[in-house]
Amino acid sequence: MTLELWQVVVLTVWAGLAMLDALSFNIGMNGIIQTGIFTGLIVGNPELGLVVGGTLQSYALGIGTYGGASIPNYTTAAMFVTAIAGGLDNVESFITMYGIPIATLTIMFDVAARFANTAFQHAADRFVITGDVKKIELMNWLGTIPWSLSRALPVFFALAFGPELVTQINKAVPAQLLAGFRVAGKILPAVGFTILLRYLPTVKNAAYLILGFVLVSYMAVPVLGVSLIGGAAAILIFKKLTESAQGGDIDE
Amino acid sequence: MSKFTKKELRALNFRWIWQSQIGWNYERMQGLGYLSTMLPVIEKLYGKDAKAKDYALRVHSQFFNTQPAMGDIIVGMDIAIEEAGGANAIDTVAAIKSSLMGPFAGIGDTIFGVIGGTVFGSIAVDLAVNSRSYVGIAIWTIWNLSVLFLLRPLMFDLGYKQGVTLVTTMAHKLRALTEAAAALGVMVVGAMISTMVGVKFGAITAFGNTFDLQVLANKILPNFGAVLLVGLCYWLLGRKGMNSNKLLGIVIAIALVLGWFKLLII
Repeated sequence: MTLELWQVVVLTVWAGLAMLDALSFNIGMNGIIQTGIFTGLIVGNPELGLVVGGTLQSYALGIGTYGGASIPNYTTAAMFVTAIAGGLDNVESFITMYGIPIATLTIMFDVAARFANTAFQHAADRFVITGDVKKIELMNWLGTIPWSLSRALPVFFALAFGPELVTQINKAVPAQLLAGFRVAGKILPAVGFTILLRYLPTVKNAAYLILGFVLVSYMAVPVLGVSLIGGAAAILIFKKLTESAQGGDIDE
Repeated sequence: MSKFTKKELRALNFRWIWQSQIGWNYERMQGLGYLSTMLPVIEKLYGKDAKAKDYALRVHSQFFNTQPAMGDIIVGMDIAIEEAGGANAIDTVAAIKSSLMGPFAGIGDTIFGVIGGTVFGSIAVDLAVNSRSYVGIAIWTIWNLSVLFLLRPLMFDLGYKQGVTLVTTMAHKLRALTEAAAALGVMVVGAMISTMVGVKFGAITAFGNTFDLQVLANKILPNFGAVLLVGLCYWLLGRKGMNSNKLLGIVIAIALVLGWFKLLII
């Protein structure tokens, strides 16, 4: 499925601006699901974008930018897959066949932006010596250029040249491999959840892990319901910990 | 005596929210954003004292990195301390900045990462993929907007009004909040393993009989395959030399090989 020029332009601009939102206001423009939906609207199939974004988001639930590390760029992947899939028929295999490589390859653009901004840092250091306050602020603002280009450029190139490449690859891929990619799409959320479990104090909270699993697997409680039960547990834990701390103060 | 009006303080809070990370770089990380945020404060407090201004500019250029919303508290404290102590307080502020940024990053990543990323993310993913519903992402967006317009101004004001005393009064509450959020996060992950990890076994033919492996798995445990896979991933990720990208590659390889031979199916 090829895109019109205006669609490529709109998506490229969105990608650049969304990155700036992710760095500052964080209302979610750069979110994986939101990007999928927006791309879906632009190509005329928002539900496709919702499913693509939701699936890719499930791979990335455990991956935040903790401490400024570069992580696979599933946002760009959501945009690309939604733009080229053309419909919900082949979307499962597309998500892993094209989404994962795009997400991984575009990490380097993030690294490049973080590196490019050191130049503005050095320039700002010179204005610190001269006390030129306006120029210091300008150097900080100039950082928006590498940041937005780091998302806009890969989106532009992927959307401009990707669809043709995808058509060629699709012709060559055997059916068994396609089946494998569809399976990958279904089981990959395990990776994201594992990263989360490694980040959280899981061993200490094993009881809650089992509880969450049982509520859904045996009792078919929706995830929203489990979150509410978890919220109730969190309130009880918070109360218990804060009360015992106050009690300790009295003892002293 | 307050040297800053309410309007000026709100503007400073906004400066931090907008500018903290747009100049993020490998050398000083949020350091440039912090310096740029503080420029109006430096001009107002030390504008007429060239030596103090020069010193403040240099000190605020130091390396800085924390979770951005937690940074609101630090910036608020910083302004209050410099407003009261003037140029003599700059060294105190520098020490507070470097001692708080690490612990605050840990707390902020867990609280905001867990609540935002895991809980609201999981609800959004579940509803998007399994029900094709926009409700989950709408809830997540409301959370994001609440953080931006309610929570972050509140945290800034808290830092500004309470100054350093906040750290001692809030320390155990923050720890309790972090622990409570962690339990909630782990529970939601347990739920998501059930709904999102779609491991379905195929059938094998041996001695002229066909065994449906999924039927066997269901007799052991619902979502047995998902539990098995997450357990395997958890063990692998704990091994030396393993990272999340390698794990991603391994899981894709498993899917391609077992999917080719129909041992795993959709």
